[in-house]
Amino acid sequence: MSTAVSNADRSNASLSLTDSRTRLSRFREKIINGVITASGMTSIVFVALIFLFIFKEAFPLLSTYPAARFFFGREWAPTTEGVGGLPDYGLVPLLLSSVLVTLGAVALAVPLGVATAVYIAEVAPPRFRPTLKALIELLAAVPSVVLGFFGMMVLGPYLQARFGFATGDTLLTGSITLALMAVPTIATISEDALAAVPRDIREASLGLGATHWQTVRNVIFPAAASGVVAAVMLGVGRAIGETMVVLMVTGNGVGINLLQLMGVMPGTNNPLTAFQNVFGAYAEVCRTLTATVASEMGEVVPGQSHYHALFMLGVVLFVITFLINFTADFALKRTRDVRSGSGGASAFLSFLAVLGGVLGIGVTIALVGMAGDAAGGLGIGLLVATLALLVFLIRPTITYRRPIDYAMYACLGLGLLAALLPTLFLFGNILIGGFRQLTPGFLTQAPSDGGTAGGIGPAILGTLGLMFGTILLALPLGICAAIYLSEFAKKGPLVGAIRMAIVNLAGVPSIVHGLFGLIVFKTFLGGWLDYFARNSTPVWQNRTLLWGAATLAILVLPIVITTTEEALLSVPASFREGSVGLGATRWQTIRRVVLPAAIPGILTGAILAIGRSAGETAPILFTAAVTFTTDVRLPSPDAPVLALPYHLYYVVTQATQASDGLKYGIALVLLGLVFTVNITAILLRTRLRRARRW
Amino acid sequence: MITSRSAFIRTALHATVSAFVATVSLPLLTGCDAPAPESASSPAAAGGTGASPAAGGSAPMTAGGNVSIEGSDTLLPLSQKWVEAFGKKNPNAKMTVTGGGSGQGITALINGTAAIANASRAAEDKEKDAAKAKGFEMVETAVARDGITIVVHPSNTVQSLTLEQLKGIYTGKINNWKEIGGPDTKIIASGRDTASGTYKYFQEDVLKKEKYRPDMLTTPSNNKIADNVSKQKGGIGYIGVAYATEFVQAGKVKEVPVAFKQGDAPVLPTSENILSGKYPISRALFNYTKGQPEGVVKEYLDFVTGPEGQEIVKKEGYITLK
Repeated sequence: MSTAVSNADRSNASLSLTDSRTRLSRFREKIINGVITASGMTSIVFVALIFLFIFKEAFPLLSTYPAARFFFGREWAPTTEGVGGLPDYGLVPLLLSSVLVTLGAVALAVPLGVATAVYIAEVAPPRFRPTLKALIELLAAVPSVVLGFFGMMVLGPYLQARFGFATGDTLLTGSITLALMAVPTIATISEDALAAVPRDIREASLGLGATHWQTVRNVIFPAAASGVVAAVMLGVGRAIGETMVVLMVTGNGVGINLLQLMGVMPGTNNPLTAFQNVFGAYAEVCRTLTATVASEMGEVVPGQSHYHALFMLGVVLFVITFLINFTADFALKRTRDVRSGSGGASAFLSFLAVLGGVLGIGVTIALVGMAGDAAGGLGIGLLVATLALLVFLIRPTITYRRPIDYAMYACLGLGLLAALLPTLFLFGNILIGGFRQLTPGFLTQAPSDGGTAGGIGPAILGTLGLMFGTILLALPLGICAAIYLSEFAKKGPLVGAIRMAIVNLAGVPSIVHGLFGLIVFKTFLGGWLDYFARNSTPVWQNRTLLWGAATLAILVLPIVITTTEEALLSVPASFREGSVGLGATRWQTIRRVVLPAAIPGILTGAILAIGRSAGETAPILFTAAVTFTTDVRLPSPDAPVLALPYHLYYVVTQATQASDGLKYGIALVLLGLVFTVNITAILLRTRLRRARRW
Repeated sequence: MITSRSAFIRTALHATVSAFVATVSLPLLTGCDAPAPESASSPAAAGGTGASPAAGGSAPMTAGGNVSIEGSDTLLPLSQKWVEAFGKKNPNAKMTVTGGGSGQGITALINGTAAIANASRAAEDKEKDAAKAKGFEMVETAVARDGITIVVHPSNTVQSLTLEQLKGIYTGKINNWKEIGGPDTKIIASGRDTASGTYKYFQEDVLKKEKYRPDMLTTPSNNKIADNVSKQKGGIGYIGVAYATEFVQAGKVKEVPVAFKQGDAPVLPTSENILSGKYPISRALFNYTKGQPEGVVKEYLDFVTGPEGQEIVKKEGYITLK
């Protein structure tokens, strides 16, 4: 049977060989090459377009408004005329808030993320590694609006009661919630860096008589240090660009301590007070760059100075994340030179491990406090016990160790515990709060009474529509771009630039994507479409599913490109050589040999992208999502949509009289949807790795 | 094996590409025939509006389909109720409601992306000029009235406030409740975001155009303000009366009587006090349209200002026009 098939194959191959010699085929091949090469450039084009358009909308501000007053202004009061009849658009309080909230998040996320990475890479028994890594990946998939929801409902009130804050919406609440988001990023990339350290230097260290911990601390970690730095930078980028979390939990005002720190309000002028002010600021509200754009963009009239000022904030965000990603990319490249470690890194690891241990204990205590009742406490206790069992299992091959080593392993384990527990707690909290809500009626009916009653049927359909539209747009483009990178491109400055563009596109804050979608798709393209279609009332200048999907497609494009390229590269070169040796053209080889072998990997990327598009809120804020519609058609590209993440945001911030059950129900459905999609991707990839036949 | 796989990938690729082409061209196609269905949708419109006696003239349905209402969050719940009720009578009228704030609604009207702007304040001159520059007049229809009530934490012992004291609190001159006869607690003020008509109305009428205190918590909705105040001992917030009722009845917040000035009798924002002008902080709520309302938009506004619409106003806790 198998001989028959391979014979048929051979005759097919020779047939297509003759075909390919015709001029038509060669012409076709040229067109395909052109399309693929063009797709390869799209990342550069998008990054350039995003920058150009945001800058174009921002720049007019500086023609009517003094630049110094924007960049050094210490007040943001867009609705009041200040000095010279101009409103105050001062960047300083917003930037300061963004920086402080990010610093707080990083201070928590770095010890936890690094401890988690070291524990998974070096201490945990190898058979638990895939499970732990998958868990961390799942944490990364929690939609930001769900984290914000948790911050509002559970964390904020807890902090307010525990520390006597005047309000639960504080800078600290924002930092902690953002830390939950940054930990998985830092952990995953650090773990990759640690795993990439060559075996020989580890063996040399052990062979010289060092204990396992000494080897980890003095050899492996320093060798992976630049990778860890890159991980931290990307975590910073994630935190500073995040919108929904800060919008929902930080109160969006400028606290008195911040005002004193900037010298707007009188405070005594000595360094110690400044220090106290910084700490005091964490107990008060703050107003970040991203939250300001998200909450004020709706109001402004294009052409007003306020409009341009908000786009200027977009430029500032874009530039900050660009610099951060650039640094991270540079640091990642240095990782390859593994022997460049320094002694400082070793001491730093010990410090981080101990910090991770302390945080681990603190987090556990706080969670038991947050669970409140006995049943919740018991649940947490059981969870801690299970995790602790997992966490304190130490790799059996580690034989030579001292008591201090045990202490360090315990600290790392506690760090892992603190990284996993809060999100598991969040999941448990949402599950318990929402599962009673999951009736067929809730899942199918339309919302009524302004979102305080009824179901979420249209929101589910809208989100499914957005997911489908996004992947339809992103997949062909992403696959072609990946084919270009792995099969067509030759190493050189162009490929370097494309890779840089992909990294940066991945790092562009989602709210900046939203601004881009607003001006390029909704306003510009929508305007032209309506003009050509001679619509008497605008169709395409409204929020529509298509614009939401297009905006999300650009957002997920880097995910599709990176995973597809990885899948293509994992196809052995011998496959291609065999095919080309038989006389197939490059495109025939790609289509008949390389792509079929890479399909499962590509699917994984597609699924991850779909999961991401389901949970994002900021990009659809101005481009697709509406609050309520009587339009009960199935989602159609030219109609606005209700979408789960935006609906959750809407209900918890605007229809607050809705029962907690309803709010938790929406969060549960969204989280369930995203988790299902991501778990599918993880399982698919695991099976794939096991089933690989070459 | 390879053949079947490559067949699979070929089909998959073709499917993806054709789907891609379809999505890209679909908007163009549907866009192109969008102006045409005037005739196609007219029978449907007539059938739909047949139930409503008001629509005897059978004005042509607006092409493009969706009537988009956008703007004030104060008007949002009321609009949703109106649209729900109107939609029941006119199943073929496709309407969409979005909040975001009065400014957002008026902007959308000027840009042509909304057919109706919900506004909890009158349009500003520069907005009217912007509409004129686009070649049309914004037409104002009053749809309801609203009082803004001042709420504090239930444990707060403050008895009443004057407009002057409110101004002091919201500009940051008064920072502790004991300064105005309350407990010794730091004041935590909550207000709306800049997109809100209530934000601007309050700034103009109560703050006399001065700046809000910078540490005010800005929120996207009336409900979030009430939510904040219910959780903060020193909290104070301004919200539409319609929003307050539920929170007050649940004992989550307390309404404070307000007086024009020291010496006047402080009153609560009841319908009577608002209509008689005794309560100092109240305003009309508007719907703005592009020129005189026509077609479905007109039917909708007639419904809203008519007896059924005003009944909903009363039921939702707002103040009726008369």
